[in-house]
Amino acid sequence: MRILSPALSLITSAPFAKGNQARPAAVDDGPVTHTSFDHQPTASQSQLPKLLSIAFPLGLLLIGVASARTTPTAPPVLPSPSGQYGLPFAAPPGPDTWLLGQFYGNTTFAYKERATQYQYGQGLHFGLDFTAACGTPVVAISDGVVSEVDGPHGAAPHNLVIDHPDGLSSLYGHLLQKATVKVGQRVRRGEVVAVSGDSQLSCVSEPHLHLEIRDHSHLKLFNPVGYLNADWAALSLVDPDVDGPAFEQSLDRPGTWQFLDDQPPVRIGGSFLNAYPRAWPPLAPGTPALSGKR
Amino acid sequence: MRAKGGWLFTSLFLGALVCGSSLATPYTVQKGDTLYRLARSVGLSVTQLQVLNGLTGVDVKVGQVLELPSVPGSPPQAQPQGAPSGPIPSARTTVQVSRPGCCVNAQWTPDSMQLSVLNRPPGGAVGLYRLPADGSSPDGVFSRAPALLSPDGAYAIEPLGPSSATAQRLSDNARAPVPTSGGSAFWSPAGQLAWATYGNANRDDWIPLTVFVTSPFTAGAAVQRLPTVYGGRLIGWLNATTVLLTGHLNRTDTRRAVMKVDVPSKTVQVLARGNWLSGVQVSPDGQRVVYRVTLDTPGLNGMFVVDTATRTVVPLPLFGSARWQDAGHLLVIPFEPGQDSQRLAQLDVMSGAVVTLLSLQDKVVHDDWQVSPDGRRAVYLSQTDRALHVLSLPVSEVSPLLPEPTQTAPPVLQNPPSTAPAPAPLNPPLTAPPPVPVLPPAPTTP
Repeated sequence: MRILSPALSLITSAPFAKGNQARPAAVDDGPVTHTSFDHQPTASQSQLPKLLSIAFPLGLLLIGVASARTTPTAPPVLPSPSGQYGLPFAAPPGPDTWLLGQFYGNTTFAYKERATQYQYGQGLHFGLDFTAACGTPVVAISDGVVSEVDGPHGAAPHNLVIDHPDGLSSLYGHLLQKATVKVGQRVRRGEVVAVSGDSQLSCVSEPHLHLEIRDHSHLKLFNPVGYLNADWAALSLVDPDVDGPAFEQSLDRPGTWQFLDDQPPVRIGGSFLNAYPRAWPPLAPGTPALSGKR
Repeated sequence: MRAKGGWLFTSLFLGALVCGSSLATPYTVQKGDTLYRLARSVGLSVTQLQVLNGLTGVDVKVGQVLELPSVPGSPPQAQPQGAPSGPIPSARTTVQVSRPGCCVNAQWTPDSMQLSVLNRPPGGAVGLYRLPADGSSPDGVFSRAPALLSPDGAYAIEPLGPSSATAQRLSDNARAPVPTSGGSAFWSPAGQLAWATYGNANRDDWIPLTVFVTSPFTAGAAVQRLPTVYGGRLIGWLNATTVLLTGHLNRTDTRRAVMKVDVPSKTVQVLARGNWLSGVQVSPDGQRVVYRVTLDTPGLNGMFVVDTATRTVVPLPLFGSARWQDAGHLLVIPFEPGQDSQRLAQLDVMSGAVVTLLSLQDKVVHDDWQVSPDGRRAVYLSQTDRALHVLSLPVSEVSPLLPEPTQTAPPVLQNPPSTAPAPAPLNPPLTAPPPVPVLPPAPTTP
């Protein structure tokens, strides 16, 4: 799925490059946030009081341990992908509901757009796209707390970030309208949190959801494919956005980054990963001026 | 996972063969048989057949019993009457033809015997390599520098720059410059080259697509500019004088279209419409095009075949990834998420009948599969080991494996969805439409 408006993405991506944009405080809570959340996912509402009596002292203990151990700062150990998250839609995929869009990573389209709309993501498509009609309900892929509604992390016109207790965040982009959930609100996996839109605001040209998996610092982005539990082979059979080679090949190492699930993480502001001196397939040329017509 | 040595690779094959040995059939060697011929008849290399049978030499004797994997429709030779000892259709036969992770986007050679892949083996040069479809050379053999080859193997383009490339006629190694990068370029069987160029727009569905056509090896041939459409792609050639596009005929059209363009007259004709057109594939004879419509208004979505002459659209009883096996049959991997394995079905586009040919016992990675030109094999990129595998396909005359209850498609003749504007030719030709080959009878309502 394409975002062809470089201006739009430059604006939304600019904070990454400048590195001076204030982030919501919740994002920086680090160990405290993690620890207090570690006990939440299994607690249903009715069990909460009982569990809290156990979890709360344990949580305090862990906060103490974490604080002592992490002074001044130790990067949290992020979870490995193991299919631990759900899909961002409740309905099953299909020709009437939703399908895949542009893959994460070293795509042929990202190669073409590496110096424009993907320049702050090391030239790669740093999210995974899902083709869906405007207005399709979007659900949280895992339990967490809403950390941004229309925050500074791109994917206009509206986006939503949910911080998960495992150290990762999910970003839902190109939403049709401002999400109705509030910053600080706890959400459950599968809970409707937004509705999908179109990166080009037409609901005709590029209706899709852009999903990113980030660390809480918003400096690193990861391939959602390993984290989301889905039949990727089946979904990619009928991807309406992919015709022909899915990934660009470097002629120096043509076997690198050619699979849905072996794409590299992206460091915001890092150097291009796909500035291949010799690439395959070649980009289609621009249309020459009409003056050249016979 | 990448096999480092020959031993490991051989053992992978051995494992595959042992696992599959219950699918093998005893075969009694007949007069005139050779190990080479028997191996070829079942899509194996001599080495593989030796491994399967514990042979060390290549000599076989009349009356000797060998285990042969079954290949439907390909008995090694005529069997004596009443002696059904030859291979019979039993189950899938697959051969790993590449190293795991080595190669993607394999293309069949015109003789259906080899696969062409872009590769750079350790210490080797980057280029197109040939992988024998019998798995006998998983490292491949260097064939040439990276190039875009025509389906018949007669022509190639080597990219030089953003809008320059060298066209090559391989029969006499003639060379000619062409003003394209080689990206989104397609050779016609007659040696004409068509390529897509793109303009700018602030919406993807408005991006102007202008196709150019030239005959690089015809002296004085001009570069022809075809009418511009919007937000689409060049699919390829329907026949020697017609190209196939997708996109909006007019920028403001609500739906995308599958369109054919007659190159001499530059006449554009809409064949079918739908939003999110994908999976567009031209039949080997150019008479039909299969395509998917997805995420349009419910009721309009699905997989369809359109007749390129009559513009009759027929909905198909399957939805998935389709390739043409021959002019009348599609092979389809149905979209059935959550299954342990994908299956391969064959669809008769005239009758709508569907049969399941085989279970892959595997899954195809991101839709990377192709049917050989002779329709007897398919190559796919395996989710299990990331290697290329070749499947032997039952041919049409043979009873299918694992027959399922035949579903009969309602072969209802249907015009393009009624809510879509009726397909109207752009600038309808004043005279007769461009010549098209004689058509087989169109599917009819019983």
